[in-house]
Amino acid sequence: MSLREPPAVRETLARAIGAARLRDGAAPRDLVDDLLPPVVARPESAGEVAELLGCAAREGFAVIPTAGGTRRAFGNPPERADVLLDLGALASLREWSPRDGVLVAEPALAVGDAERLVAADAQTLAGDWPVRSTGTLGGSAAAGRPPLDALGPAGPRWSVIGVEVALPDGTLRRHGARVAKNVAGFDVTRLHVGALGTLGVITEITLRARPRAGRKSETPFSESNAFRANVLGPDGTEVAAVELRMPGGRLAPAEPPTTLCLDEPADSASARDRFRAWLARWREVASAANGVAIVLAAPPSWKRDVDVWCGEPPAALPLMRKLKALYDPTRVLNPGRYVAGL
Amino acid sequence: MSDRLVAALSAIVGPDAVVADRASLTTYESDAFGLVRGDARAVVLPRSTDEVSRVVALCHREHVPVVPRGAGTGLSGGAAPVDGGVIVETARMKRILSIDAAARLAVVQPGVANAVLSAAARPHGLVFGPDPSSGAVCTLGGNAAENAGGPHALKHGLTTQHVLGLEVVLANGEVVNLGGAVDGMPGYDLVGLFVGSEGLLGVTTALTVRLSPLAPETRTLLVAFPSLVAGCEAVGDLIEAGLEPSALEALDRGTIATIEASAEYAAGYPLDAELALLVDLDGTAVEVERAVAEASRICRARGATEIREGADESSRRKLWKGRKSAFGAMGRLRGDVYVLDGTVPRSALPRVLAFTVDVAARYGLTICNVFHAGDGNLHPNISFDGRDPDMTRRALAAGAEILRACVDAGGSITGEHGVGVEKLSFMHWMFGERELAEMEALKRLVDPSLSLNPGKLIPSTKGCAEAKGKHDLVGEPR
Ligand SMILES: Cc1cc2nc3c(=O)[nH]c(=O)nc-3n(C[C@H](O)[C@H](O)[C@H](O)COP(=O)(O)OP(=O)(O)OC[C@H]3O[C@@H](n4cnc5c(N)ncnc54)[C@H](O)[C@@H]3O)c2cc1C
Ligand SMILES: Cc1cc2nc3c(=O)[nH]c(=O)nc-3n(C[C@H](O)[C@H](O)[C@H](O)COP(=O)(O)OP(=O)(O)OC[C@H]3O[C@@H](n4cnc5c(N)ncnc54)[C@H](O)[C@@H]3O)c2cc1C
Repeated sequence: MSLREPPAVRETLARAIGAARLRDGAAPRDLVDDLLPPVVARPESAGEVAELLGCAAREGFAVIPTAGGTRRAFGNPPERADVLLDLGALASLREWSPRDGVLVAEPALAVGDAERLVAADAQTLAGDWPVRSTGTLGGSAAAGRPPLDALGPAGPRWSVIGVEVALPDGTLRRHGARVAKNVAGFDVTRLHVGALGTLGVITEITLRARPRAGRKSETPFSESNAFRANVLGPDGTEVAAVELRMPGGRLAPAEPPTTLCLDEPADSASARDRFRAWLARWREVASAANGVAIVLAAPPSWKRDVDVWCGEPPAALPLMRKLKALYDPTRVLNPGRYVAGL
Repeated sequence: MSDRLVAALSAIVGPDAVVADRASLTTYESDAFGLVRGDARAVVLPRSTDEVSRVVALCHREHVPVVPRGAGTGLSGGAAPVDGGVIVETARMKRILSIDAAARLAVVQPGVANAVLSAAARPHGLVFGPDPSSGAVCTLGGNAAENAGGPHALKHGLTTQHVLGLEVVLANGEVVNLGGAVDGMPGYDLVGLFVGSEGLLGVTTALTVRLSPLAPETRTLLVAFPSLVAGCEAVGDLIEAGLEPSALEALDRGTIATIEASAEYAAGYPLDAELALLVDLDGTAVEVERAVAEASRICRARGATEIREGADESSRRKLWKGRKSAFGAMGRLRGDVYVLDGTVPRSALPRVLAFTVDVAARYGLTICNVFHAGDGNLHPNISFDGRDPDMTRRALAAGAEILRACVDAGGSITGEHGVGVEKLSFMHWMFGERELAEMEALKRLVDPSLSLNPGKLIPSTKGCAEAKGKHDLVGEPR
């Protein structure tokens, strides 16, 4: 719950980035799990994003960034949601240099559009990257999971070579460079990748592409190291999905089942209990094999019952808390959505 | 006072694992970047995580800096004890704890040498991807701390893409596990932050690393070009044609001459070439066949005067021999070599390489270029005589000017060797005040008393570090 009334939120933000950038939140399209942010802000520059975050941090408004919206259900349900930060207006390509294999873009450029662009030059971003044409580059960096069949170097630690981020202190920071081989200073870019927008908002992203040829020559070895388990409702539609990520793709034999078929309605207490028990068993299997089981999507009420990220919190949770406190001391960015409620 | 410290350290690791006599300590004054030095109070050689933890905790209580050290092959002064303190050397933590061939994972202690792990993985058809030229001695702990690369980083990546988990001892002695046995563990990517942090955030005591399948086939081409520009443009052409060589290395005329002049290192490289490219193409037999034909065609179109092919292991090894011994051969020129490590976008290679020639002429120095061309990672090697202060000053100033040109071209002051002490004063070319302050804040978050490897990487924390070296490293050009 917000400490402020919606009109106050909107007035305060209007002073920061102008009323023209704001509208009221409307269900269902602006829902974040089952919370409706009263205000939707659509900034038109990185500077405006930083202004907005600075203002939100001073006032204690919880901000939920969103771009393509394809993964809005990922993460724990937020504790609060005052402002939906729509990054959709920041979608332009800054640069694509085929000779350098480097692409620089605003965060809301669609993954599919970027991939088509580099594919025309016989290169690929997607070889290392989960693509969904309406998902955005920034959203993928913030919420994407490393590829499921990585062999050798792949995934965001390979692809994302630089970011500009807006922080809750109202500033913009640049890390990384336009070259893939760069070890100057701490690799701060890594902190924002996979952080689900809980430390800062990515306002520009620099990616490396690779020749398509490399992609092809990897295929013969491909072997998945992550599986998707899911829960189906009585009508056969997917109600929840879980990523099972095991070293070397090891999966225990059929037990527990990779698909849980419900015969009761998904909103019943018994369905929720069965999900929780099924997930707990998967988590035992996963942790015994040094793997993890992460809930990719589930009804909000189910998610509130568990931590979508893990059973046991990571050993380095105290360090992660300190990081969160450093970047977002008043907990305004996606509060509660990350690991162990960060 | 120092004796009390030595006694306390000996009580933890045993007297045979503490080095504290002046004569032995001189070996530890610097790393392979000889221009910065310092005097450590002692070197300890722990055998286990627990010993590292107790040593670091002791130093923390006593307010003594801790400098982690692997094999000391670093090229930026990272392991030099510029602020004194205790060096924690990992030479006795050399065990490969496990290799899980099916999961393509290894768990190792930090002192295992890079090539030792690859040799152990080879019978399983696997290899550790990063292959720094120093691989025979440099340690995996050092590789992770520097985020090391190597000739095959172009396709197979830097160390960061191969480390899944780290066990680290924090500045207060606490042991923490970061990451795990799979990519994408829940939570912030602390492994990504710690890799490349040059020993400032923790002492690595174990690593879980990815092993990669050996390519079924690799072929090597040695291609001679009549000009620097033609060779550099061929590099860009190869990538733009959609080829992905696993290595794409370049040697200039000076480097070739130096290698060929040495009886020990001579590899039969073409002496009349201005630039030679060494190209590895890997994949299935069919793919490699096609790639070799395509690469040859592209190089000829750029005016290649000669193309030699190594198809089997022994002929490949022969072609690589000169490249691998280039640094060693260069040391023969004047005794000292200042190895630069700037990166530029591939499209800027011809321009920046030509600039190094210009700088060499202006400073009256010999600069040989041998570099990871595919990555745009230049290694201009400046030969100088360290006993000649004027020449040393010129070498440093010339180096700074070249690195500045790399940054101006949109690149970096370091592609794989790290900032260490050497590049402290260049950091603000790449980062604003806010970003540098952010790095310091991250450092203080994990190590509030700045006791781990002080005087490195973050310019603002250089403070009290008093380099013993007689050369001022602030050679910033205007
Ligand atoms: C768990 C998971 C599995 C996936 N698997 C696949 C797959 O197998 N195949 C496939 O094709 N695609 C896959 N993707 C999709 C691809 O990664 C998405 O396209 C992308 O993650 C979401 O982009 P979006 O713009 O729709 O993000 P949104 O849904 O808008 O946002 C996702 C999350 O990221 C945050 N966020 C968004 N933009 C920013 C930003 N600029 N800065 C900071 N935070 C931001 C949001 O707050 C939100 O929490 C997967 C994604 C996830 C999360
Ligand atoms: C001839 C030659 C060729 C080289 N070729 C390459 C190359 O191709 N690619 C490349 O990337 N580098 C190269 N290097 C540089 C060097 O070998 C690498 O940086 C290597 O990773 C350093 O490893 P090391 O064990 O020698 O570390 P050291 O030099 O001992 O230390 C390097 C840094 O790592 C820290 N450190 C060491 N161990 C630990 C630990 N366990 N925990 C925390 N911090 C630690 C130290 O404090 C220091 O900051 C070369 C060097 C030489 C001399």
